[in-house]
Order: sequence, then structure tokens, then C-alpha cells
Amino acid sequence: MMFQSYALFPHLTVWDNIAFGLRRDGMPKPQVEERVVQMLELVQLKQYAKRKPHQLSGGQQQRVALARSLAKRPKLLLLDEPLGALDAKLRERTQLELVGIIEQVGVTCVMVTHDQEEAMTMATRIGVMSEGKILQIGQPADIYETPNCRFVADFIGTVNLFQGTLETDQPDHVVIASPQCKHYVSHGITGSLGMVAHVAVRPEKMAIQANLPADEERESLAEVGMNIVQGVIEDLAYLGSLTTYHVRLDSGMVVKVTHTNAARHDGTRLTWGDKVYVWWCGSDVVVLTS
Amino acid sequence: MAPSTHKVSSLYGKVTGAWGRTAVISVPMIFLLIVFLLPFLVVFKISLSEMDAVFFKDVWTWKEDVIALTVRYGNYVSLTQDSLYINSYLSSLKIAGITTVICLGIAYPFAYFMARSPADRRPTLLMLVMLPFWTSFLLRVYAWKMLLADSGVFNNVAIAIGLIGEPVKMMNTPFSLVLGMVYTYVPFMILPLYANLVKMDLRLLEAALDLGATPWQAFWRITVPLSKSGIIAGSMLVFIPCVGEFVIPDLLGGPETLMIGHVLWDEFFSNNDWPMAATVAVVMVGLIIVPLSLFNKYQAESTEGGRA
Amino acid sequence: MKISVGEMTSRFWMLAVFFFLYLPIFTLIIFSFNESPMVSNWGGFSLRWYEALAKDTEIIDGFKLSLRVAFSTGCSSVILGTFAALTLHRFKRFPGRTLFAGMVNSPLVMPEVIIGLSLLLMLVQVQRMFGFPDRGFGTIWLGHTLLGMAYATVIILSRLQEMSPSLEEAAQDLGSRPLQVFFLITLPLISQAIASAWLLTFTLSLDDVVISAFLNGPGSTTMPITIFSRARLGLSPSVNTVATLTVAVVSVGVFAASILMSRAEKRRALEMAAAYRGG
Repeated sequence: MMFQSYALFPHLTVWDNIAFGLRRDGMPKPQVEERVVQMLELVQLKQYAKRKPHQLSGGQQQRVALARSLAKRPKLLLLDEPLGALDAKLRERTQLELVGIIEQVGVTCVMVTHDQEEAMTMATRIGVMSEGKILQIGQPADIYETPNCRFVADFIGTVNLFQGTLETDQPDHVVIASPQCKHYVSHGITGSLGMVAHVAVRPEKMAIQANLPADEERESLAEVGMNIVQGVIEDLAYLGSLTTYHVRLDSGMVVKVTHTNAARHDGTRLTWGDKVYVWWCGSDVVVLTS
Repeated sequence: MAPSTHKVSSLYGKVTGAWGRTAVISVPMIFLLIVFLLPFLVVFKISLSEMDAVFFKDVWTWKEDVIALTVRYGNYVSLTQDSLYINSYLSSLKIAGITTVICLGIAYPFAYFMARSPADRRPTLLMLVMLPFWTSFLLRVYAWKMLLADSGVFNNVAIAIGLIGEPVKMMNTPFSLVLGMVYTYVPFMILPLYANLVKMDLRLLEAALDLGATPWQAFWRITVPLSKSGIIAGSMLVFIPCVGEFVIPDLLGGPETLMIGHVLWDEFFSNNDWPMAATVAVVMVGLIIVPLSLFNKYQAESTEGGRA
Repeated sequence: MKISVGEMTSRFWMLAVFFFLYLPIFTLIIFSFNESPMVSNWGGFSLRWYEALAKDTEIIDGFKLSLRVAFSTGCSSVILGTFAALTLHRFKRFPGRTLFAGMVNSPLVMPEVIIGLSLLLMLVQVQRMFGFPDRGFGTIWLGHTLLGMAYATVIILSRLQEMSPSLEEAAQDLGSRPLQVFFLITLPLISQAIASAWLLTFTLSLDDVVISAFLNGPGSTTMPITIFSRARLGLSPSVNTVATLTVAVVSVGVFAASILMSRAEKRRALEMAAAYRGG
């Protein structure tokens, strides 16, 4: 296990810390030496072998903690918020380093974190838990793009949720009517007419513009009149590479739109108070029934 | 991960194994039960008996098929009847109280100033405070005899510089007793106060001043209440042992100063009346049981707090 | 540069208290070199009392005994104190915990006459019933250990609380059995606390009067008891000489300890700086 506080033994050197677990198993001395050297090379701390933990920086201490927990070639490694103690810049660098080492060694890791970005960056599979129950397990992209319930959709990243009732149910498309607009979903779902369903649309999947989009711009003509809302820009945050808009619709709901500033001088820049249209494609939505 | 025989959990105390845990608890527990608790029970039993030539009469007797339980509470009656004992108890409480208050008055500003000194100077200051503590207290109390005697240092110097014409009687008075007690116990008051004050978050004071308090107000409304636990700890560390103090009253006290510790000693060593001494002890414990429980509660709380 | 009123008050108060604390000590030292045995006059600088001390068998024997008792007390207090501290730190719930905590802490404040009397009465009862123990070295040691254990527990417990619990967890996670965890991890980390607890209990035992007086037997008079009897009778220069020697030894010890500690601190600071530069 790798502890959040590292829990390195302060009175032992880096070498003795790493060798600790091996010695408890009664491993013969030459083997211990070989393994410790291997671990030190893995985390690139060979020249610090004789130092004590308080003589190392935070990042180095973390690498010693990792080496120590990997030394016994465990089948499963538990990581308890391993990057919590590092500052932001170091954390970024360490995330990828950590994954690299773990993959090199080939050990299965279970990592606990509250930082979504960290989970998405490092994990091959993510499990989302709420109140002791696992709600969904899958690859980061699957969790993000195809959440299986409202909690997961809302928990990972931001999402716009429209509540509506199933109006049309066809094998290749469905239409869900909500107070804000009608939703055209380009895939079938299992359900019955009239049942309550939520449509989840991610902010980056939405387009925002001052004038009504032409029919040709839509994904399919069947969508014209659907998947589109009108409102006023209540708030915006210009973040350089992208801009986040909060658009208040006539119905009162606030929709979040993320717009990538892909080109300079994107025509006239939208600002507070502008009346805008927000629209999206039917293939970009997820229907949630729980 | 860990071998399957032990569960890795945050309650690592559990993992010591049942017999290991019993062993660790039992060793000190048994020692204390025998050396601390049992003697108290014995004292209580003996206080209920009487002196019989060389030894005291037994409370239980088993003779000729008769088990007799003779509880003589005569000692307790004597206690209430003889004004010597009552006066000694009251006087002890009074002197201990005065000592505690004076110690607090001297130690609090001192601890405060020490806690606010530059950080690199504090270890040295602490060492200077502790140094007398490591030197025998008996010797230092004896030194006051030298200083306060009629022909002692203070009087000699005062006469030599013409401050007074005749020696002032300072020795064997309540003054010398309290002086000796305060002298001995001031470090006991300084240390817990210092430990408390040095950990105080100074930003709280900053916030108070920022909100319009004067430094004096900030001191009384913020610093003092926050140091309450230190004040209580220090006061208990001074008051309780002072009540039963013997050496200092014996060396520096006089005929006017009655201390119950001295009375107990005399009952035992001079009068050879063990049951009476035991009775005095039992009542003394009864007197200090309230501050003692307060002290234990404080110690328990600081143990819990440390596990945060 | 002007010094503020606060700063002046602070310095004045601290100096006054230090003067108060050290005046008796200096008096003892100065008068130990007084030719005259009286405090009322200065007879000139002399070492006669030190010569007398060297021949003073009563004090020397008492000192030897006190030393033996103090050494034993240091060891036993620290061992029992470690057990007690571990118990209070690790086991939050067991039958009798409140009683246990009370018993461990009470000797810290309990008047020594009560401790001495109660222990003596019990030992006498035991002696009547079983024929042993006779009062002497062993009984004094027992009484001092009770007191010493209380102090040792406080010191060791506070160090245990400072120690991060995840260290012991980590050791177990890496395959240590509980006993190994104690000897390999816990013990080294609390070693400094154990050392200072030993020193403290040693000093307390060396200095103890009341408990020793109750628990001693024929032929086992400790040095403090000897000094106390002399002091009760009046002023005695032998006390001054003992005091001066004690102060000298303690000062040297404390001084040496603080130099060692500050050097270790400086070394550690340098190494930390180096670690960050290279890291």
C-alpha cells in the first residue's frame, strides 16, 4: 500500500526503507540487494540511497514510497490519494511518471482519489461510487460519454440535464419532449411511450450563436426545430482557449455551453446580455432513465 | 500487501493480537493496582483501627471460631474534636490556595513573554527555567534558610547598607513558608502555561485587533480564555501537592503555620500513632479528590486531543 | 533604536523571575567557599568544606545508595512508563481504562506523604503476613518507581501522540509482525523521549526526601535524608558543597546536551538544503 502521507520510516535510510518489507520476508541478503537496486533504478533515485527521508524533497519521498511498496512485487497495490501532498505543477508531472512506472512493473493498482482530473488522466478503468455503492465502472471515455445514470453524468465533468417524456419511440430514433424543447435522439432506447427520461448534453457538444442556424447546418433534416433552445447570456468566463457561457432560457433553466476559441476574431464576440441560440446534434446526447 | 493473517485496518490496535494486548495492558495495570491502589485500601483499613503498643490492632480477627470485624472510628471522631486537625486542614488549603494564586501571577506573564520571544531564543530560555528544576529542590529550599535567617544574607546586607537597624524576622513565618512554596512550584506553573501559549495561533489576535479590539481587550478576551487549559493544569500541578507538602513547611515554616502534611508526619514518626496518621491521610485524600479528578479529566482530554 | 514599553516590561519581568529562581543557587555556591561556617560573616575564600566533604562518610555512603536507587528507578520507570504509554495510546477501550489513567496520572500531583505512608503501611502488612520484604533498597526503589512511572508515561505518551500512526501501519503492511513493529519502528522513534524520561526520573529519585524517609530501613539512608536531617538542625556548610557540586554537574550536563542538540539541528538543516538543491 502507498500511503497519502508516504509513511516513510524517518530513522531509516532510503535503502533500508525499500528493503524493509523484503527483509521481513526473510529474503537472502544478495537477493535483497539486487531487488533494492532494481527499485532505485526504476524510480531514478540511485544516488540518494543513503539519505534519510527528511533529506529528500516531496517528490523524491513519494518515489521512495512507491519503490518501497513495489519492492515486494505485490499482486495488488493500493494507492491512497498518492498525489494529494504535491503541489499542482509537480502533480501533473508525477501523474504520468507514476502511470509509466506502474505499467513498466506490470502491477494492478487500485487508486483512491477525489480529484476527477487525476482519475481520468491516470486510470485505465474508473469506478464511480456513491454512498458505498459502485454506480458505474468503465474506461474514462465511456464514463464520460456514456454515463448510465444522472449521478454519474453530473459527477464527472459538467452536464446539462433536460427532463422530459418519451413522445416517439422508434428503433432508430426517439423524440423526448421537455419544457425547454423537443429532443431528437439518433438512437433507439428501451422504454415505453410517456415514460420520464432525462436527456444529457455535455457543454462542449453544444454550439452557440446569435442567429438561427440554417437547416443545412443541422445533422439531419429530421432534427430541424428540435435540439435547439433560445436564451440570454447571463454569465461568461473567458478562459483563453475556451469560453464558458451560462445561458438563461425562457423557461428559466440555465444551460452551460463551452465554446472552443478555435479561430481568432470569431466574428463578433458574444457578451453578457446577448440573445443567442444554443443547439446540438442528436448523436451527441445520452438518454438517462435513472 | 500484508500477509493474510493480519487485517490492515486503521484500527491498528486491534492487530496486536489478543494476548499481546492483554500483556501490554496487564503489566502496568497490575503494578499500579498493587503499588498504588492496594496501599490506599490498606490505609483506609488501618485508619479504622487503633494503636496497640508496638503495632496496630487488627480490624479482622479470627480467634476461636469467631471472625470479628472491629471497626474503630475513634480516630475520625478525634479529628473532628481536636481543633488542631481542623485548623491544619484549613490552613493547608489556604496556604496552597495562596501559593497557587501567587504562582499564577508570576508565571503567567513570564510564560507569556517567553512564548512571544524570538523563536531561536526560546530553547535557551526554556533550558534556563528547567535548570533549577534539575538541581535538588531540597538544596534550594535550604538556601532560603540562609537568605532569610535573622543572621542571614538579606538581613546582613540590609543592615550593612543601613536600610534597617535591626534584623527583620523573616524566617519561620507564614511569609517564609509561602515564599519557599512559591519558589519551588513556580516552574510547575510556568511549563504548562508556556506549552499552551506557545501553540496559540497569533493570527487570532491579529483578527481581534483588526476588528477593533485594543491589545488589552484582545489579551483578556482571546488569549486568556484560550489558555484556560494551561491555567487549570498548572494550578492543579501546584495546588494539590502544596496541600500535602511537608519538607518546605518543616524547613521554612514556623509555629504559626500549620500544614497537614507536617501533622501526618508527626503522627507517624513522633507519636508513632499509625492509625491516626492513616486517618489524617484518608481525610487529606478526601480534600483533594475534587481537584484530583479535575486534573485526571484534564489529562484524559489532552490524551484524546493528541490523537486528532 | 527605541525599545517599546512592552519589550521593556517583558525583559524586566523575565530577568526578575530568573533572579528569583537563581538567587538561592548562587548563594549556595558562594557560601560553599566561605571559610566561616556562618552566613553572617565572610571569612575568606576557602575549600575546607570540600575537604570535609571528601571525608564525610555519611554523605558519601548516602550518595552511593542514592545513585544506585536512582539508576534502578530510571530503568524501571522507563520500562513501566513505556508499557503504560503504549496502553493509553493504543487501546482506547478496555475495562478499567479510566481507573488505569487515574492511577497513572495521580502520582504526579499526589502529596508525597500520602504516597509514602500508604506504601509503607501496605509493605508492613505484607511483611507481617509473609515475612518479607524488609525495608531498604528495594522498598525505596518501589516507591520511587511509582512516582517515576507517572512522569515517564507523560513524556513517552506525548511523543507517541506526535508520531504518525501510519508508520506502524506501513510496517505491518510490509509484513512485520506486531512485536517486530514495536522494536524496529516504534522504539527507535520514541528513543529520545525514553532518554529524557530516564534522566528526569533519575533526577527525581536522586532528590527525593519524603518517600525515601517513609520507606527506608536501617542502613539504607539516602543522601537527601541525610541532608534533610542536617538542614532541620540548622545551617550546615556541607549542604552548600553538595549543592555546588550538583549544580556544576547538572549545568555541564545540560550545557553539553544543548550543544549536541543544536549541532544536530544545524547539520540537519544543511542536509535539507542540500537535498532540495540536488532534488
